[in-house]
Amino acid sequence: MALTLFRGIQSRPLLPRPSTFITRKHVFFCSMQNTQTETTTTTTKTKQQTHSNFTETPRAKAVEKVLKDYEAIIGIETHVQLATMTKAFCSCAYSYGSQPNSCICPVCMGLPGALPVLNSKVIEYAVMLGVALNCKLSLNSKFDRKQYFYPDLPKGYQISQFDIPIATNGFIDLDLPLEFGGGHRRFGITRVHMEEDAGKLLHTGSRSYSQVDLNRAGVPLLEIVSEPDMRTGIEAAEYAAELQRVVRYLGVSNGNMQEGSLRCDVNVSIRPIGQLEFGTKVEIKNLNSFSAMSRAIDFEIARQAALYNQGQAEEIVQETRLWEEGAQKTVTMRKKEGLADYRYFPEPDLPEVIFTEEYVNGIRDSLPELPELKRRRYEEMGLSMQDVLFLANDVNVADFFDATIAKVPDVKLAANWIMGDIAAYMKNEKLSINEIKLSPQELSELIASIKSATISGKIGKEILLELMEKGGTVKGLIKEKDLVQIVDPVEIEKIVDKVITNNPKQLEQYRGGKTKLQGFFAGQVMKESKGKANPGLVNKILLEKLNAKN
Amino acid sequence: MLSSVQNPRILLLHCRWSKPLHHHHRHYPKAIHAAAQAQAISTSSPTSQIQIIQKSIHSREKTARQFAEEFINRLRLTEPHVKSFLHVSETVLNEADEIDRKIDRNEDVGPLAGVLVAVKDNICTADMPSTAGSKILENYRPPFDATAVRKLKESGAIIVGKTNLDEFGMGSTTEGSAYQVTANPWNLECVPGGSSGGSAAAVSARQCVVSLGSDTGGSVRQPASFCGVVGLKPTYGRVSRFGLVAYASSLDVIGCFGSSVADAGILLQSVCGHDKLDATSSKREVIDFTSQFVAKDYLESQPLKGLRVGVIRETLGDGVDQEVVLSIRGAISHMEELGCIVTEVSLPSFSLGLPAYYVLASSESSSNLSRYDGIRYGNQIVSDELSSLYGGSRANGLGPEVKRRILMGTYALSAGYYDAYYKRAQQVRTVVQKSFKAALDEHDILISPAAPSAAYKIGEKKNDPLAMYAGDIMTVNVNLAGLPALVLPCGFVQNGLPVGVQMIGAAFDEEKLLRVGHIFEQTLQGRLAQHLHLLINEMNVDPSISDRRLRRPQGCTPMMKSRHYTIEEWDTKPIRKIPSLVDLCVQKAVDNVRYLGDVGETDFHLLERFLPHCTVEQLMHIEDSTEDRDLSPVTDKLWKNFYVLQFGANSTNVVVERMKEKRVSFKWRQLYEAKVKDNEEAQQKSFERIKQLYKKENAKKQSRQVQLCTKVPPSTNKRGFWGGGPSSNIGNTKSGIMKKAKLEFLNSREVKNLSAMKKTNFQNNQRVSPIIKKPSHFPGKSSSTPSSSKFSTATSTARRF
Repeated sequence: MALTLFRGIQSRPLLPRPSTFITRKHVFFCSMQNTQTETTTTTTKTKQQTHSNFTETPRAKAVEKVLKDYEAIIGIETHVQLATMTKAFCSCAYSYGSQPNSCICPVCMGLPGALPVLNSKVIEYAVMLGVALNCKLSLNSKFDRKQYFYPDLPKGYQISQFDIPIATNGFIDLDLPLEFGGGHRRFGITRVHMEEDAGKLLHTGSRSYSQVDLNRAGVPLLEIVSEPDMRTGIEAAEYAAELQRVVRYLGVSNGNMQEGSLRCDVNVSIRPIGQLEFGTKVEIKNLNSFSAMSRAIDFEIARQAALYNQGQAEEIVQETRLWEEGAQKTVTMRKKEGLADYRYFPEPDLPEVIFTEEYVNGIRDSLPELPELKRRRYEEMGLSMQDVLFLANDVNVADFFDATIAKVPDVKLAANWIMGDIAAYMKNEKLSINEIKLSPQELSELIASIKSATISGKIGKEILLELMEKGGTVKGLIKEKDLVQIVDPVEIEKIVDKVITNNPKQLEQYRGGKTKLQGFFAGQVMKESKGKANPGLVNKILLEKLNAKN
Repeated sequence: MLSSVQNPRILLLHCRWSKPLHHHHRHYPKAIHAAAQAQAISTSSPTSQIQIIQKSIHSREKTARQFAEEFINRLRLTEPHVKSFLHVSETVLNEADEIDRKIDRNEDVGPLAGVLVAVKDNICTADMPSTAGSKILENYRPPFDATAVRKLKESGAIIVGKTNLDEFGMGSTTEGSAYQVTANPWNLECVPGGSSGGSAAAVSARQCVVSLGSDTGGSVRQPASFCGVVGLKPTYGRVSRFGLVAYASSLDVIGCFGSSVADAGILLQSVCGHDKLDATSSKREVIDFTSQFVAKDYLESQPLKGLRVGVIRETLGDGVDQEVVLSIRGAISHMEELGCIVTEVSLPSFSLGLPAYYVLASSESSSNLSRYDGIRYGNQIVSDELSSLYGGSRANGLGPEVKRRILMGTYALSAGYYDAYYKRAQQVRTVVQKSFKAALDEHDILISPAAPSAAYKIGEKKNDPLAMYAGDIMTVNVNLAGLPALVLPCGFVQNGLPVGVQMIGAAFDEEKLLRVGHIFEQTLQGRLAQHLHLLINEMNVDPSISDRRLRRPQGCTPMMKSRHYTIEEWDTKPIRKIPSLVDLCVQKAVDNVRYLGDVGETDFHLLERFLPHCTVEQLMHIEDSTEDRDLSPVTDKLWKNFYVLQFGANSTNVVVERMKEKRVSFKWRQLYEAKVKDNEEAQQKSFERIKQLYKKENAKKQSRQVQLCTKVPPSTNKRGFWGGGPSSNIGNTKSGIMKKAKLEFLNSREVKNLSAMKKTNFQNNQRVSPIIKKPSHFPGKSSSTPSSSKFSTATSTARRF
């Protein structure tokens, strides 16, 4: 990421003070740069990684062992950055990776006299997510100020929601991947509330000062707090993955963990099985992928269990720990000295958020089909759980699949094509399903052609590759390359006759009892027909002919 | 005459407007003259300055530049005493020229074209610093205009400068400013009120036409009352707060100051309305307030017949100055005469408002002021550690009152105290809102004083924050309820300071408030005019009717009383207790006589009242700057008095004898000036002689190679009239203010005035050649000396600003 020094924008008219450096002695977020390094991984890959980690690393095994004696309690706070055109309270457009302090205005800089005005899209998105997470929506909610001092917080307070969040008491359903034993889970959602993001501190190499980038300040967030329902790292990672799926299905966020559009802070505590009270919880930050989440939680469970086992349970203190990707462990970031007093009070600059039941119903009716419903529907179609999970994982894949089966309702064939050749092609070429040139209509056309025996499966595969690479229509290709299957028995008979006459030696051997040669003849026939002969008919006629003279 | 008593200057202005037939008019074209007459003669009430300016510049009878120069010149003269501005724009005259050019091109210039508006310094302006009176924002220039300012500029207004305030609006005296203490133009030893003290004082001293303030707990209304101007606090949400440096967001409102109800209304009209940048601004349609302002002549005998007025009982009880109560009672009976149905109404929750207000306002301010951390803007201290950077920047930048409120607010919002303080205060707020709602369902408007007392001395409450907080009791409830309120002058207390009456209306019903306020103002004026006539007639019949004296303002010496006979015989037939208005306004004219210049069209009776209070220089200045009119019928005996005082009765008698012998008609001023010149020449001669002596002595000593004292003797000649023995008597007759003024005069020698005097003296040559070389410290009438004054204005600009 190209970082422009804050100093470089001194001439920006909005900045009354050029120097916004602050000293960094006690700044804690020192390793935030790490977040930029990881490459994008698809959720599928993450799952596979998670899987491999879970079974292969000794730590995971240790966790398995630990979980016989202890129970881990895991709750997750997720921040979802909303993909609104403008920020929550001003008209700045925000895009990830812009030059520092290029997406700012008096409002998000917290200049004296500037006032926030709520972007109505934020409410819409919050209601959408609230409905999607089966929450109870507060028709009358309000914004509050959460007050603390930090250089990346321009106003000295964050506009958030405190006692009346917009949505409460929901749940999320998910299916664990088969690798992890499968199974359906329902995790509770305590609350969903709206808030604004803070800026970012950029720590310079010289370490004598830090710089403030306020681009992100004021970007709308939804904070989703789960019930402490998760018990393992896998469950936690799956919860986050499902949340990502939901926000992507809804289109309220791109859910990109690497860009920080989806941030998870995990609270972990363990207690001996049978104990009722919770243990001391530890918060883990800096989790940039689902696999990191799972590994960090497993590490933390093992660490805490070890302390329990050594009789040092009191060393587990309430603190915030940082996941270090390189060392694969968590380290203390800051110890909480009592409960921070954020001195919440209602935000007087913003009116209360009031909407009607009709508004909610309108949004409910316009919601797209959510992952859980989609999975249930696919399941009912008769697809295997593995297929269901794969197809429903990515909203685009699911849409592709749905569009494909809309015309030719052979779900199994469509699923196989998508999960087989198309997925492999996408993986090799590193493309998403929207980027390949094949349209779902053509795929269904292809499936239909194969089903109606217009072309053979083999030819289908060839055409598919061409369709994905270059585009075009199935019909066009078939016509262009003269690929229509030969289904006329008379014609096939002619070819068979020809092949038999051309290979008297083999015929002799066949008739001598070497019946395996049937395959040879079939191959010759196919070759003669340039693969267009219907294999069933070929075999049938070939057998007849070969065995006739007997 | 109500708003005319806001300031002697405007009093005279009104006299001029109201009596246009008495004297010929210098440069008014006939048509416009008739129009002006129609308005001015008929109403003889506080005229809308804005309307006058609009009429004049559109008829090209006077240019925007001339108006601007008039105000700017007065601003320069008064600013060293009043100190109402933190920043004065340098482009006022250019902007006025631009407006003139636009008018010449027949372009639309907007409803406030050429109107000089002062803006409280906590309202952001892109082209001027906006400090909110705090060191932490020293030299801070916002990158944007507040919506109200933007609207003003779109209406053609000229922003004259940024006015002083209590830091971030926290205070009731304007002493809380980190930069300077503003004085009350009525009495420079008194506070102008606060927090919008600068804006109120600026209008009161006529440094601008109208001004914007902000009202969180009475910050517009209390200073309006203290400074004798009209203050309007609109409904919460009526005016956009975008660009208003937040103090307590749920209470803050931008308000308007003017010298008449009409001005305040016109100003509100141009700044109000929904703003998409302020989520709390109302989307209600804005009605045309200005159509309310009907001239007095068109009013019925009982123009407010049937209006239900509720007097808030709790505001006239204990703890309220009895003189304030009297003034309010006077206003109430006036309203009854106008046809209002006045009843008392009780708001039991009234006294709860003050503590609730201070909890809520402090809580919100503790949050609103967190942004002043020195990171992005404002003063930052050098520190190598974050928390000390925060601590140091805030400790340095914020004043004691601000820190006090931040601490109070932080405490009130702390975990465990929230319910006991903040939540409780919110509950009180709801109760207050409900009780006001109930009272306003039964009454059209509610009435109370704007403050429990008139202006007090600077420093009186500075170290007693609780006493200062208690002064907000009349106003904070209105903020808690978010209602509109209008404060306009209705009387005076003993020491001559104005008292304002507060009219509270239903939410978003500024229209009614302005209508009622306007009629109140117009008719009160009429009554006073009546009184004035009565008085004049009585005086004509018998000049020494009565011994009944008005209570004199404090600080008046007996001598002043003895010479000051004409005024005090009035009040023989008191129609009601308050009519001391006219006297008091004359008294204010006397106290502030140094602001006077051309008294061209002022009635002789009025002149007779205040001219006896002038010093030699003042009288000279007034006479010299008054064009086309001989003031000698009034002033001649005054000059005689001066002659007697300065040179003794014997000398006077000698002169009278001599003149009788020669049978010459003469004027005492000429004699006086001639005598002064003689004396000065004599002094000069003796001084020269002494110098010569010293020189001789020196030469002798040097020749003897003995070093002796080489001190130059004190230059007695430079001290003029008041340096010597007799003149000190005159000095003693004046109040402390006058002494101060003299000292200031002594220290300031304006090139402008010097040249003005020279010119005038030249013109007066035919009388007696004057020898006054001392420049006057009074504003010269620039039109009398066009060429030289232009030059001198430029020089004084360069020197002062």
